[in-house]
Amino acid sequence: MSVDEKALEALGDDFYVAISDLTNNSRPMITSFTLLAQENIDAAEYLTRAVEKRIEKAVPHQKLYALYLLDSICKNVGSPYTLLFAQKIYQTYTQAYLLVDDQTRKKFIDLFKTWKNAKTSSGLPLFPDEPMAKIEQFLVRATAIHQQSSAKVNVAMLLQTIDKLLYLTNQRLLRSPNDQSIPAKIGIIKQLKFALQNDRSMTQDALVGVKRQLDEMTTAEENSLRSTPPIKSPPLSNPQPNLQNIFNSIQNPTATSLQTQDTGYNNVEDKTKNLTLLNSMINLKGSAIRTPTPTQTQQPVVKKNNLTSLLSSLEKQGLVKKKTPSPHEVPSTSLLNSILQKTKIASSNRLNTVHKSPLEEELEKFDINAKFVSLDPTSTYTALFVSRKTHKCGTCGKRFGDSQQEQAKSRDHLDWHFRINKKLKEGAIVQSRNWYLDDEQFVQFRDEDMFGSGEQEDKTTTEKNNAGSKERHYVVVPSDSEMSCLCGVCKEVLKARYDDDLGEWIWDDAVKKNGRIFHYSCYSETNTSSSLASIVGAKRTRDLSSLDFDMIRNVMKNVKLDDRSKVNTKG
Amino acid sequence: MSLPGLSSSAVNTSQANETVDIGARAEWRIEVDLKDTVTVKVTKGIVEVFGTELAIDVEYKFTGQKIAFYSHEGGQLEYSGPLVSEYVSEETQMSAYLNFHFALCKMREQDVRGPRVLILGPKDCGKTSLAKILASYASRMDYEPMIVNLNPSDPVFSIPGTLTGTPVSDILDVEDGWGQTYTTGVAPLHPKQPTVRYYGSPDIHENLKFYKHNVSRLGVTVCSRVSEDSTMKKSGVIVDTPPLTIKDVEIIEDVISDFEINVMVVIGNERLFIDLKKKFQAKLNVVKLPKSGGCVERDDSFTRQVQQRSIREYFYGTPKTVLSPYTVYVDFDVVKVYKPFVDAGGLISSVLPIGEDGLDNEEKKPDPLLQSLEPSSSSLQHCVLAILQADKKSDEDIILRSSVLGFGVVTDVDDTKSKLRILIPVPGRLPDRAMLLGSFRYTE
Ligand SMILES: [Zn+2]
Ligand SMILES: [Zn+2]
Repeated sequence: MSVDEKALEALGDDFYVAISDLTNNSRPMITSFTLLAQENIDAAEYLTRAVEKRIEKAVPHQKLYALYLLDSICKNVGSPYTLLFAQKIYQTYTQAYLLVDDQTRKKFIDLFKTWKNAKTSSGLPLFPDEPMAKIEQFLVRATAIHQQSSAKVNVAMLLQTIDKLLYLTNQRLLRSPNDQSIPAKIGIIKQLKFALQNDRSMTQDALVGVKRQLDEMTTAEENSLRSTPPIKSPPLSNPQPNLQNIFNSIQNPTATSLQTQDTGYNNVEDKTKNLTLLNSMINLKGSAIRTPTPTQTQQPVVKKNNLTSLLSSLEKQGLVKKKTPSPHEVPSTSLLNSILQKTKIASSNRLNTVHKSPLEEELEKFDINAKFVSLDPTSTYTALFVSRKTHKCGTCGKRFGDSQQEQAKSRDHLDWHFRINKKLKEGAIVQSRNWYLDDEQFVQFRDEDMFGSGEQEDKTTTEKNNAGSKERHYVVVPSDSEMSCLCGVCKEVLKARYDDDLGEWIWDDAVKKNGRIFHYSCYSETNTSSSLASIVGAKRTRDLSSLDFDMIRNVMKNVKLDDRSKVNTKG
Repeated sequence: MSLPGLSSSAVNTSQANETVDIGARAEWRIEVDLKDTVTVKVTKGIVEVFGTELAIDVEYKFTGQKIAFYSHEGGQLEYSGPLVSEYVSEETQMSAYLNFHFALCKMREQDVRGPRVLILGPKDCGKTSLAKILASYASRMDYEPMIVNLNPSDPVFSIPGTLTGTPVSDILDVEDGWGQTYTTGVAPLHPKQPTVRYYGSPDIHENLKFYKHNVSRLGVTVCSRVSEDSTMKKSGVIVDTPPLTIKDVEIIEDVISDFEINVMVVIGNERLFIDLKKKFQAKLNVVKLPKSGGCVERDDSFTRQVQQRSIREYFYGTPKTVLSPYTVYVDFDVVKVYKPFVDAGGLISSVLPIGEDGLDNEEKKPDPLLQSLEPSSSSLQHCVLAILQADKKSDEDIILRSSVLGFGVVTDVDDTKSKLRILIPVPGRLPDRAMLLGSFRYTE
């Protein structure tokens, strides 16, 4: 490699470092990098590689900005960059596409459409036809997969769910006749039902989103009905379908992308719920990602009537906007918002996308080295403590988010409250404190082991129970073992005795589990009150064999209640 | 159930409810006497206590606490019950604390190894409140930081005299200060799992060598717990301290290395901040935060009463979680009690900077940290004993390494029969473990 060549390569490396700062959509930065590329055409090969590498290496939500840089260089400088990028444009584009979230994918697609029509200064297509056709094929397939992947949901199912929800909500109204929010909620649910019955053309994605939202509301109703006794008017901690809010924000669009909307949103003065709701239902139809087709030739940069981008900009607004309403208002989930989020999450899970961007962006200005003390934390407070965690537990105030995982956590959490409260009310049992863990146990202890789903059944328990109480339990002393050992639960000494019938030394009334000896009574008592074995099993897989049964028993005895109470919960 | 000092919770319903409006970024500060209980219910808005958001329309009960109810965007609450003082203040430092929290979050998001924060400042400047606020905020964002308490006078998840490390794995219990541990069994909120070491005195200067020994051992345990858990590694560690001054710089240096500190925050003392910044800014971030106007000086008698209460709650629980302890009778010769070794001129030499205690010492072999103690009524009556994890027959170095299994209180000593009566938390025999005596006493 010549000296010149080395210098060019170094230039490429420098360029890579420089463009790694492209962590947001900064037009000035993209412009100046484009100029740099223009001024260093000699190094075009290396600069091209630097941009490709940046697209590859950037965290998902930043890939788009590097792709915009590619776009800017090709459109403004043209050859030789167009030729160089064209060599790998298919890989560059599709690999990045798979890693970004739906919202960004939308922008990828928009960008691709501009490529299809763009011409270089000499009148040739920006990129050769072949990779463009391949990318288009890819996008057709990708978006089709996207639509299939959602579970089939039909309107009839939704109507059933709505009827159940109406029933539950009416039940709650009977219990809390003074809670004025309930009739309002019922009204909204009825409108939703009406809209669904009259609009048969919603996309799968929109239906799935609506279903999730309904399921969530149903769960919330079930939970608040279950936990009614202590509270006169159960706090509507879970999704309050405050449709008005989101509709109001639709009616006051601020984002530039909304200005070309001709759906009538911006003109709506009529705030009757019905009309707005129907409007939004109709428009939800378009919320799935459109498959680009060759016939869609004229694509302005800001697409008209693009529901997805409308919704996403609303969502963005929503994140910041929730701080504005009355200070006493507990922010609530909006139907539209959460529908959008659901579809986004469903597809991102599928492709293992990292959803880090909003958090990092939100935290951007707080730097431990800078003067952070006098900043205004309000918008971040709202975004991270409230909007990201819309579901507030009515019992303890802990919040959960919208994702499926968060909803599952929320359900476990409510179940847990329910079991604990039941246990505390049954009350008569006076309990004693247990010992602390030793250092090793402490280092190995994980809270999540204590609050698992509770679904893992302990097989040995049922075996024991079925075996009946008459059966004799003993353990034959292994030939290489001492004659006494300690019970793994109560720590008392078990002494071996010679059994004439068996002709063996045994520990009587004992069982051996996982290589340890227990009094039979100690073991069965421990086991019926907990899924001990599953915990130990989990520990084992992490190679934490020294875990002390004593500790687990102490903890489990009290924390994880037996499954009978759980059955009652559901029943 | 009636237990000494525990009032049942069905008292205050007859009293009229007062309504309090809290404006945006304001807080309602109250003081509740140790013998009174106040019931508070949030009716509107997001209201938090030391960073923990309260549920709406749920009654919270507070006894013997000085607390603030903060609302960032305004809220309303109702209360009933007697208060020593109450007022709404708009002069809060919560925005600064929030910003600090977000700056820590940025560190958490940027590195797999999150912030290790050391909180420093004079007495009653709000160090513990800040620690709690940071832990709660972190928990609200699904982080699980480790909270470390190095102030033996002000127990966290344990009794006074202890140094503890506790993963904040879930919401804190605002009614109980920090909340319950797994040792209490069924509790209304998720319990926490501390590791506990016993230093045994409220004053760190009483036996600095033994204090530093315990700090360093706790550091080992905490760091290995944190390093084995990616969530906690990212979430980081928050270390609360006793009131330290620039004279204690040697202790501060030890803590920095024991807990791998990378952020030092000084509250409400410009001078200390400047001194520490000069000394440490090359190796870590030194930041200062303003002291909250809500900080109240706690007199010694309040501190002592709170300490006694936490010992009582260790054995008997709280009104929400009543516990039943157990009494054992044992012969003198089945117990093995140690106490921290204090040499004749102990108090004097321990305040001298290292290297200034004269040449004589260098020739002597190093003083032991522990000494054995003969049971008697004069040495043990009403004393709190830490029951260690180490077996009573263990060598002294194993005993020194050992953390705490639990606590006992010697309720009676019969010198003629050579018998002790000991209150222990767990039914059963007295464990065959070594025991450590400190300076705390407890009488029922
Ligand atoms: Zn809860
Ligand atoms: Zn046993």
